[in-house]
Amino acid sequence: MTSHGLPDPMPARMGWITSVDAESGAGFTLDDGTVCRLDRTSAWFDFWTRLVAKSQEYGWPVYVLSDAEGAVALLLHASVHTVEGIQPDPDDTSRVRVRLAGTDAIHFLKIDEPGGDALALRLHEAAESGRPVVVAQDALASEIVDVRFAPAVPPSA
Amino acid sequence: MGEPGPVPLLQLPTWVVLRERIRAEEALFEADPPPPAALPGSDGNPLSLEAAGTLFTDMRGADIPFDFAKSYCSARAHEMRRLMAAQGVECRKVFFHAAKDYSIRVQHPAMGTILWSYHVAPTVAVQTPGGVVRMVIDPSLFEGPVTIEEWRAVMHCDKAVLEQTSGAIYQPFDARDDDYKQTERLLAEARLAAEAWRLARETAWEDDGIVPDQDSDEDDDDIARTA
Repeated sequence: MTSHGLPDPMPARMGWITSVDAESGAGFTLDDGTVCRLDRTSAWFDFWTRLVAKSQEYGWPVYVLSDAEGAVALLLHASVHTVEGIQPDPDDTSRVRVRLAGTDAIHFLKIDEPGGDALALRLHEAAESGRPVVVAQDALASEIVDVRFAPAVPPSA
Repeated sequence: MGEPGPVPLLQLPTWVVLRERIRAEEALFEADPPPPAALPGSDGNPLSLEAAGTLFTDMRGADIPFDFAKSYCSARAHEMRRLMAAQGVECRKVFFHAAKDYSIRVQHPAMGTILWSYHVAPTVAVQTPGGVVRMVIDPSLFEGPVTIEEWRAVMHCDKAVLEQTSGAIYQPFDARDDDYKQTERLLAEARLAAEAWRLARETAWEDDGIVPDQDSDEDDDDIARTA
């Protein structure tokens, strides 16, 4: 199981929503062509449909965990930032503190979880190079769950 | 009798003298117009304590996600500035910046311990019995207007700087958002983040078989909401 209580492994994607299934309102396509389907029985369904609509309206990227059939298990808002700094968290040695430009919050990355070291390395590379990254964090703990270098030009819908 | 000579100035008719004086005074006013009246909330026109309280209540009732205090303070503060301006009230801003590699720690009644790199809120001038003071309007942390010292006191940081700025400053390094476009975008993000946080908390409670205790939230309110 992942830290979100989801079946593991499940491919994670970060991208921009290029189209929404207007008829059902429960499906969308990412810029890499992945077709995703929202589960109407999920407690998150209403929230996810609003997130999809706003992400398309404002051009925000999203983070998606979905199975081979495109059924969405987790959908998170993501955002593009430059990384201002990373430092150990004196309160919790299992995570680091991350400062992202344009936000007042201190963000966290768990480094003792699978993939944590790779994400930390990517954040350090981004901080040193100044290259913007797409960052997704979980809704409850504000912990970073994924980091990827942002494309030079975000795909348009 | 010969031709009459030129009329000496002192013998000009009274109405001509008066007209010239009026013209001269009008010219003075045109050259140096009177200063515009100071807007309510500015240092030259402070609000009463009661008006500041009403302003706070108006802000708290606006569609601004104050309960999601983890982030988005710049958008909340700038939206309040926009709403105050619509009421004809002029605000300034107060920033509390943590030094590089330092964090501001706040104990929030609903969200627990929060860490920020900076925090910002609007201030208005208020007439108090002791004189005119600037008071902070920050419904994410307080239940009413507070002095800058009271606002500063709930934020803990070993190395930080307090900075008062024009209300037009939106984020650190004098960043502005004069058309409020960035504010609108960030507020949309903040509303979704707040909704996701509430849902995630409820879902976590359901997973753990815990029923939220409404009373305990009220008790927690005493932690930071001391105004």
